[in-house]
Amino acid sequence: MSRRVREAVLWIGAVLGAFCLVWTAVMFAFGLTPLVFTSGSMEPAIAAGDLAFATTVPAKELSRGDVVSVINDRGTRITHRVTRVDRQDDGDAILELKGDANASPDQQAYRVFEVERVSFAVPKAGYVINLVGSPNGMFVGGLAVAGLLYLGFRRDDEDAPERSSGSSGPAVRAVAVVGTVITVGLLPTTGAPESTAAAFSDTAQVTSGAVGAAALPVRPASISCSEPLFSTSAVVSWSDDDSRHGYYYEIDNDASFASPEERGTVQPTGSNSFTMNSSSAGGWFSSTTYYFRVYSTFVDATGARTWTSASYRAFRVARSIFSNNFTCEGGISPVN
Amino acid sequence: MRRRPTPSRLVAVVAAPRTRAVMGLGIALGLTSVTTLAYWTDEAAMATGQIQSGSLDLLVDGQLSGQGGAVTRSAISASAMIPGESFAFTVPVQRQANTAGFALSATGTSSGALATHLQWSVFEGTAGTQTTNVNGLRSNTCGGTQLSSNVQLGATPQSVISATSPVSLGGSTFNKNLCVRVTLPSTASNAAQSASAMATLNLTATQLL
Repeated sequence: MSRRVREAVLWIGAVLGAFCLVWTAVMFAFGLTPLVFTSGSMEPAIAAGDLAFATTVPAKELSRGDVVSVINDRGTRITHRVTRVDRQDDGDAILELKGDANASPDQQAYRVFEVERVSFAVPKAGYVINLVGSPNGMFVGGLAVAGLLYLGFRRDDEDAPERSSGSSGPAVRAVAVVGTVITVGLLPTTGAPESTAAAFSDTAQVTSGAVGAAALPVRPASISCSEPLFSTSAVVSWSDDDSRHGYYYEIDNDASFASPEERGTVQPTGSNSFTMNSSSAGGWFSSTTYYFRVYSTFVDATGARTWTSASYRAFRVARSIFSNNFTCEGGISPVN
Repeated sequence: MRRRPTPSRLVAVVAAPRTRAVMGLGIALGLTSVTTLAYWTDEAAMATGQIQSGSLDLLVDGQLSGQGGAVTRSAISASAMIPGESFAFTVPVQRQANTAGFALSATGTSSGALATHLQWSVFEGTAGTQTTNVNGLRSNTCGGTQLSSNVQLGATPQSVISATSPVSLGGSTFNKNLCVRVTLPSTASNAAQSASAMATLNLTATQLL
């Protein structure tokens, strides 16, 4: 390698290295947080790939229109514009943020005590930062550092006169050691750029058609009673108006149905009649007059009664004294 | 013999090859800074430190290109529901080609006298086939992952797809089906009779980072 090329490479390396040192020093001295924008929802103010610099400010200094960087509840750093500040008594502020390119504000409100506020942005510089930070970039950088050290410290004929001058060789090596220690010591400082997303969002509204409930079932259209020939029973029947209708009946010896002696639910698939005889009602038929009323109902999947018609159809049945003969007597109020 | 370094001597020191090589070490500092960036992005569960430009666009059944928008799906309807009945409807959602991936969350509102009686559930999946039992009761279910269960919607938005467990349309996923199930519970009171309601789902797509 010619001396000229070596000189040029050393100069370039020195300038780049000095730039990195100055960068770190400036970030540290001014408390700047570099932010690489990884997405573009702050366009056109800040585009994806821009590098922004933020300073930490107390929440009470914030105002509408500031661009601030916060960590959302998924741990992602989001940098958006403040659309509303809700100041709290304890010095915190609850922020509503919105990306300039987004139609609606962020879903999450952010409670902050202090926050990174973007001071200025450098277009496209984020691409450079990301390139340097990529595995390839780091590999090349590592090689560059190793190469520079080799070029600077190699023992060859070109260096001979300088080395023979005595003091400069050890001195420079001492500087190298100190420089390395300082470099390592500074690693955890705040100069590191952070990625920030200016997250895009979109909304869509889906409205349903009408979801309507059925009306209450209407009482059976008609009720009737029959006395089968050669039988000691009376059969009360009612019309089956709707395949979804079940029926609910009550039997009492009091026309007020104050405390029905018997009640039951007939499923939609069941028979629309009830037979009154000496055995059908568990032996409570000791009176001579009975009242039977029936409602229409809906039933749920288990067969349980849900909605019941507001009114009913009813029939009066008589049992003759000393016998178990039942006689249909007639419809009763409400009018059948 | 001690002498103050003259400017020319200072330049000579800076220009010495070894000094420049040591200054070149600063590059390592710059690199380490950026390494922290990469670490940071890992923490944030970002794919890489990738810079994405472009846009984000949520579609509902191929409609609503661009930001925002509203669509009415009149197919999401039911008439003459009786207590115990349920209906289910598929709502396809898409991500526009060549746009950023997103996480989808949703809230729901409902208006109408029947709103307080209805229960809504949202699934990531498709609606089954409606069946009618012997008593004439109609019912349907949604397949897939249940995202919310029997939420009663009203004027105040209620979460039906939580932002903490959203539906993801990232990577190579551009289509998903949501399924909306509405139930009139068997405990619905007589007050629900003949009433009706409409529901609105507000979908929010937030860029996956």
